[in-house]
Amino acid sequence: MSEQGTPVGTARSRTTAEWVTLAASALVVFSVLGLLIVDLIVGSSRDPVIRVDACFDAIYEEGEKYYLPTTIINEGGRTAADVSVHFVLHPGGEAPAESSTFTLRFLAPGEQAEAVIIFNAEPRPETLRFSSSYLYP
Amino acid sequence: MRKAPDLSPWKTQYNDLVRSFTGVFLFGIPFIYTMEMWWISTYIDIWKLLIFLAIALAINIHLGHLIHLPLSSNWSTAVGEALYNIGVGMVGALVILFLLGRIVFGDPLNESLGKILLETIPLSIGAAVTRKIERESEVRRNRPAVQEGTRHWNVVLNQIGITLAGSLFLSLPLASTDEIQMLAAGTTDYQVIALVPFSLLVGYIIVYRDSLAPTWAGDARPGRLPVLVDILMTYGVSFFAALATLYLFDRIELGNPLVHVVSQTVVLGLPATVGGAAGRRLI
Repeated sequence: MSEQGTPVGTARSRTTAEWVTLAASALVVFSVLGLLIVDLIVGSSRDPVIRVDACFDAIYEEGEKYYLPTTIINEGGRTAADVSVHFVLHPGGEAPAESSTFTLRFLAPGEQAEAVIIFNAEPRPETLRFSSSYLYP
Repeated sequence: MRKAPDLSPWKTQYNDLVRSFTGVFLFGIPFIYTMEMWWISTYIDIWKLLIFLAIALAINIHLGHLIHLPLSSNWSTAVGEALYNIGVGMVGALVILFLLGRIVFGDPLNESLGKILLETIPLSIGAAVTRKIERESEVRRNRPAVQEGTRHWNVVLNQIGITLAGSLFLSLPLASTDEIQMLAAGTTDYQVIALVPFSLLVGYIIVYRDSLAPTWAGDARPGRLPVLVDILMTYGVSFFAALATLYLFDRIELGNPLVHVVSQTVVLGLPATVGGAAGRRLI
């Protein structure tokens, strides 16, 4: 809001432009406040629930390596920190077991992260196992 | 001496809004480019965010009261100022965080609100302080833009120098951090492209924001071409400053993929442009 030509010590009424700007600002602020309150009331405080979806249908091969797209989702109500996902592949036969681990710094409730795991042998649902862990922030 | 032109209330309000966003960019960019601010937003409790909002409101009510002293001691005016500054801070945070890929569609709501609210305090204070400073320096803008007889190229070189100084002021501390690489890696090509016109727009707003003649080569009212050239120059110098600081801090090297170099430079180019344009405006 601006002051122009107003004598010292006196308050002047707002112009229409100032009222419009004030209304827009108040709408923004109270909308954010309202969303916060709604989230506070209906939000879940459930501990993080980490789900790992390996997309075997989307495996692709490049240079004799197998690339497995994976999605990690936090289905809980709280943020998980240092989410660690560990994959172990047992291809069978004489092929050695392979393992791969990655860590996500933070995973908020409802947030999902995309990752790609790279193996020498083709991963299949019956040969791939994974485990995960996290810390409370 | 030039006399400030009489402006309509809408034009005055526009100028005030632009001043506010100038403060948002000037004061808020270093905070927005801090990864810890993004991370904290993912796990901070909602009640703490409400406290942050209350603190922002209290500080801005106090600043609003100071801005209007001695013209008015009406506290309702101060509350209105506070809502205005906080609203500007929130919108500014949302726009910049969206362009930098820190807020995307589909993000959890509380995470997005957290990112916006954590930035609101410094950004709203920036808006309030800038408007306070600018109101107290109205006389400064009535001075002649360029002294009589000043050679054209001397003015241009001075402007380039000021722009470079301002660009380096903001880009140097940011270029050494990991945030620029993280942001460049996390933004899509469209977001990187959108950052260029956004940086040009920000530069234009900061340098030309209140319809008074800028200090360009002695022109009292430059035409469209000089304005365009001026803004492109501001961005070009800022882009160069960003590129140079990234190279000097070993964030980019000769032989790096061009896309990698360009995306980092464009990302750092936004705060560099803010600094360069602010230098032009304040000095």
